[in-house]
Amino acid sequence: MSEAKRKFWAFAIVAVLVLVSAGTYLYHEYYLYLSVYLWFGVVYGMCLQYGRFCFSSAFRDLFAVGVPRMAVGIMIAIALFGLVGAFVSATGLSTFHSAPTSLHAVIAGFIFGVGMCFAGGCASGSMYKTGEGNMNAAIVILSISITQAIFVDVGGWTNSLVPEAWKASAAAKGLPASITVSDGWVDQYLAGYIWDQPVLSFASMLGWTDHSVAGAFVGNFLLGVVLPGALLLVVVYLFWSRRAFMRKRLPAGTRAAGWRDELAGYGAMIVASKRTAIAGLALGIAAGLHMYAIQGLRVKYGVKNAGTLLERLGFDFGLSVNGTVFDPGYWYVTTQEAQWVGWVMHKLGWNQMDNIFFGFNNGIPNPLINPADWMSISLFGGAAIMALLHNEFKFKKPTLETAVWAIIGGALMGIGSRLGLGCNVGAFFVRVSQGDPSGWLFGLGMVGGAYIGVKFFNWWTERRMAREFAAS
Amino acid sequence: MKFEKRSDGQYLLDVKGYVCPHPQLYTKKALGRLQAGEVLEVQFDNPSSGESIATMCDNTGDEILDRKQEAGLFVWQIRKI
Amino acid sequence: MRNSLWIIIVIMSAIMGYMLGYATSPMIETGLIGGKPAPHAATGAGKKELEQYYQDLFKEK
Repeated sequence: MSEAKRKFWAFAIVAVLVLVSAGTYLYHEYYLYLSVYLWFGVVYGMCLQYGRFCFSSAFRDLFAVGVPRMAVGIMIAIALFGLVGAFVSATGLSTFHSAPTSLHAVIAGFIFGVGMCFAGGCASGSMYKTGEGNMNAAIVILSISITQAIFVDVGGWTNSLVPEAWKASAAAKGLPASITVSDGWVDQYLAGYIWDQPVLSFASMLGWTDHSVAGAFVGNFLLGVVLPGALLLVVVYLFWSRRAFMRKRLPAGTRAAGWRDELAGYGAMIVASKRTAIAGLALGIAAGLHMYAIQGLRVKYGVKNAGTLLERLGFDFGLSVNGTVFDPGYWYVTTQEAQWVGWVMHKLGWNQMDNIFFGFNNGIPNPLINPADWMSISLFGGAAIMALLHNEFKFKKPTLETAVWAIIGGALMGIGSRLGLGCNVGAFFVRVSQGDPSGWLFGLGMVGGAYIGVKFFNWWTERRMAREFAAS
Repeated sequence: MKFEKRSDGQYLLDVKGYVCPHPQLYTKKALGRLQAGEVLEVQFDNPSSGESIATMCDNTGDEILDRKQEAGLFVWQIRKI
Repeated sequence: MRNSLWIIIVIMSAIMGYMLGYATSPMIETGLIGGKPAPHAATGAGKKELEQYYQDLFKEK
């Protein structure tokens, strides 16, 4: 593609998004709520592509090729989002709610971690890569979406796998009759187990509230994000970055490394990949402003959830029994992917409104007016804009081998993200940076899963390489 | 995936069409099989793999002699130390 | 190419600046940020009636 053509397409994408935003806003001001999601989606897409922001490589490349750049970039983004988030929550404007904390987050993270290794990208990474023209990543997205929509509704024989205690606890929750809580493994997992787990934050564990200055800055930000993050980076430095740095700084035999050298090495590791660090910075700030903007509009329109807005606009199909739709108020990836497939399946005759995930919590609104879907679609656009402008856009067809990995990996990620109530973004990035300990548990699981995934691929590539080498 | 010897000390690794983590893993494995001083040409089209390969070479000391990029295709020459 | 990127960033900043401003004004009006509530906010005796009035506004027809 010539430069002029690439420029044309980049501006064409911006123009379409501006038209959608402006047109719908002129039609009714409530659409501004959806446009906030839309433009933050573009920013996320641009940042992800620019920084090659891939959570899967953060863990995987450490084990696979000893490259720490992404792990560092993600910690920077988490710390910045944590800082902006602390401001937002100390003023009482945060849209964030902690998730239940228990061992399930580790297990979910593990399954998700194996999946993202197989798929070659996490949930958000596959989205920006789709925007780069990578059709393999598009298969991953499709696989995540479909697996989730099936997983949250499937009953039948899986009901016999549900522990008695969950069954009893779920039945005692008194859910509306339209939700068949006794039919569906995920339903009973959610109502019978997850809802009974404690909802924590570092601030609340220390006896502060999340929206107090001490709670937000000292509890959630310093103790919940900065301290563990800095310690983790020390481990990363010692294992994966120190040797190469010292080799260059102190040629063999000059002198032993002192603490100044160690500090310089630690600092050098943090600024090693400018691209990733810049993207992390922008991502962190944008994610914080996103929460702020959504909260402002909720105050303005006097609503707690976009479901009310959709109802006022006359869209009453696909709202949950509570009248709500999925409206996190911050960056999220997997739920809206499940929603659009759920919507299609429901229209084709598979009742998706009798489970907790769709029917009670998130609804299945028409993807055209689903706020979170606006964020996802525009994320593709943002990534495409960036890739076009840097001459990195290339339409790539999957091969049979990579397509198989993509489908398996996507399915594992879909299951992991439903068990953990989110993906690498919703269950890890956002939760960790807002001081929710369950985010760290999910991350712990992801590290373990990535390790196992790398072991497998090491074996696989070694085998193929040996064959090729013998033939050459 | 294609790995072949082009001439003495010159190898080609073609991992076009592969996504993470394959290009960087194959590059690592290929470099592992080369002798010091030999050159590997890596062809890949997954931009994020470039970042990983560059850092990996930086860590091991292998030298990236040349990086070409055109329309999403990357062709790098790496000399093993 | 760099110019194009900056043009796009400027366009986006303008749009997002508008949205952030739009989101900020109701928060100042309600006193959520900026310390003291604006002068016309409900205070004292009439507060209950005004609250009721606003609640009625949100009721669905």
